[in-house]
Amino acid sequence: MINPIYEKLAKIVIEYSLEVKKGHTVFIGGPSFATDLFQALNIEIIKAGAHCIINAGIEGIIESFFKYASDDQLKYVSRVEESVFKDFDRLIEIRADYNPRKFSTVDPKKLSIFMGTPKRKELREIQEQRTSTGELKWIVIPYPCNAYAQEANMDLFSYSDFINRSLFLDKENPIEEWRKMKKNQDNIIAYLNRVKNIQVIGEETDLILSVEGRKWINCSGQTNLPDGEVYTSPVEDSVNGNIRFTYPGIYMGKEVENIYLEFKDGEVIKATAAKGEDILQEILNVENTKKIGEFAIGTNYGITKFTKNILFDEKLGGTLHCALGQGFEEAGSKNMSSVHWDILKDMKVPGSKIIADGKVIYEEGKWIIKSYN
Amino acid sequence: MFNPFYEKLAKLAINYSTKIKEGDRVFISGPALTKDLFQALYVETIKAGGYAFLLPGIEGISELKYKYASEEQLQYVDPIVKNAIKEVNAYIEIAGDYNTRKLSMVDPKLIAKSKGSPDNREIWETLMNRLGTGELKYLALPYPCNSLAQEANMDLFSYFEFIEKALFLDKEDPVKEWLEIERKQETLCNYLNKVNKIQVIGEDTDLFLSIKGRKWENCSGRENLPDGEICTSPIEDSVKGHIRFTYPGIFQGKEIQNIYLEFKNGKVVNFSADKGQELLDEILKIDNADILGEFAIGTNYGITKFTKNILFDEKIGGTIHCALGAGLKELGSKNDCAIHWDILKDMKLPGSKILADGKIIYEEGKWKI
Repeated sequence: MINPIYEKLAKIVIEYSLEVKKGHTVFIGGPSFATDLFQALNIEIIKAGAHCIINAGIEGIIESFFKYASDDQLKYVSRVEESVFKDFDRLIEIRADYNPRKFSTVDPKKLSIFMGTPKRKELREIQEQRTSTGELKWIVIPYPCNAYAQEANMDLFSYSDFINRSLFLDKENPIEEWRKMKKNQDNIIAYLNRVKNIQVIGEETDLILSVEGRKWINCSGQTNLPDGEVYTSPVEDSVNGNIRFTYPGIYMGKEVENIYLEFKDGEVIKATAAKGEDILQEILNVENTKKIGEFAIGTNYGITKFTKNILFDEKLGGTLHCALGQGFEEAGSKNMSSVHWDILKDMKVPGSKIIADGKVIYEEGKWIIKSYN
Repeated sequence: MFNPFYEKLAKLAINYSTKIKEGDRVFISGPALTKDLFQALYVETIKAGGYAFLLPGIEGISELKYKYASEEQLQYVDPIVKNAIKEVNAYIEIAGDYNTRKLSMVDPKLIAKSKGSPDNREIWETLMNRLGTGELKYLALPYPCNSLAQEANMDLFSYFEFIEKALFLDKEDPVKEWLEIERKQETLCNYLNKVNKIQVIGEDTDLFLSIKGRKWENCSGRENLPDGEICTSPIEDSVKGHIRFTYPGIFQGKEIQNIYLEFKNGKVVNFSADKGQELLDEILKIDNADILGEFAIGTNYGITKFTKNILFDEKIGGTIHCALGAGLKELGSKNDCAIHWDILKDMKLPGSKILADGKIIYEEGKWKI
């Protein structure tokens, strides 16, 4: 009865990404229309000998909450919400929606009261701490829905195919594909962890950054599906030069097009954009957003289209992305900011390359280090 | 059992717009997700003594048609639908969708082939002929759904209220409101039918047009809901001067911003836009698309937000719109064109006015007659 696509996806999540074992408690959140995927995940969890709690969200509930809730209600954290981050061994978030613009009419102040509740901050810290010890594993996964298809300017059938290719669900054995990606990227980061200086050359681009002493992280389906990137946080004051980004940067639903940045000693000294330059300047006014918190290379060649959904876009094979603002502690970053804003550059364009300590390691969208194919 | 919203909307559609009488046959089409409105329209049709034929569309079918159908299959329309258009007394189309971008990936040539097929042309001609003789009533009406809310950058609840206000469904008796609009606009049309020359003054704007001998139409909820506009087709070669449009023009889902047009002897002689200038250039190259086919004034003050949905936008109270291309024949227009493209100007801005034969009749979004 279960669509084999969802069975494959559930198996990746339960066996490969989260490594669910006997006795584990697993919490799944997502919109209630994702019935097929809830069902498939439930089956795999039960088969693994674990316990499954399903929280299927009803259309319109969260918008009504933000519309009518008082400050006290916004700050209220239920024992159920608390337990999710404190007690569960595994968390799964199905990322799909009835309407991705549902918060457009919500007062941003209400959102920040909700997010800034001390109890919620504490729960996020607990989640991070439990994640770092390996006690907790969590993942965000997609489900094909009209709302996201519409954002991507696609029909639902094409969008489903797009998801399937991004997660290798069109292959006989997707888990095998993800294992292969993990192994390849292990080799790449083993190489990159010994590198000191990175130079990016490309269209209107010559950017130099030091990654000395920083760690590279292999993202191959452990906390995100789709996945496929290697990233690090560069030494904060080492970034120099200029870079032109190919794809629009998207900030709270608004687009900033054709972004160009110039860096000196780690800080943006010049920033222009063809559209939304005011938004770009607004972002750069936030503390520590003039610094690069992340430098990453997308490695998922199953994703071939920019869809304005960062869960997919940042993994586009043949692109790199930089994030302005918050860096990653696990990579050695020291930059703290309330913003972490990813922007993408197409590296398939002729003449694009990445040079590591003077040696070309990546050219026109492909790795040329021997260990990677 | 019914949400009063749908009951009020259905009553408006059946009793006011299409005036269904005993024995009338009503054909209703729309996506299956609009079940509440189908049910309410069905009940009101039955209560009015009519017969309803419902054709709810299933999610994904039109995309699948374009994906798998041969050219022959794409051009085919079932006789059931053809006969319905030939025979029914009213055709009601519910505008809602699962996904407004569902045909984005389809080759536009295939869409044109399907829409221009002999079967579809026959349906279009039947529709136009029977509308002309008054044998058939046509009505398009909206349904609050997530895909349209998403396009409007709104949540579904806010969009619901937006539709409610635009159709006066928030009032005790919406039919009464629409009758009042119809009466007021009748007076305006009677006045304007005696006018020879119109001048529009406003931001970057000084436009002249002759409407001598042309008729004004009172649009007050008989064919569209929401409604609220009066329109005419100007004398083709009379348009001169320049105009800046406030809202983006939307052509096949693409936006053209800050449009500026200059006319001489009825034709666009100069134009510019901030974004989409190339597309504007392309549009103006279409035969007769450089001629004004319509001049209209939006009168629905319940609509206060531009939502990129022409069914609502062109009726915004305090705006005017001009259409490049095809004119309205029933109003005396002689301009034939493959397109009819509406663009809007905000007339609430300080200094905006409309003059009729030299007399100010409209100022900063309000009528002076």
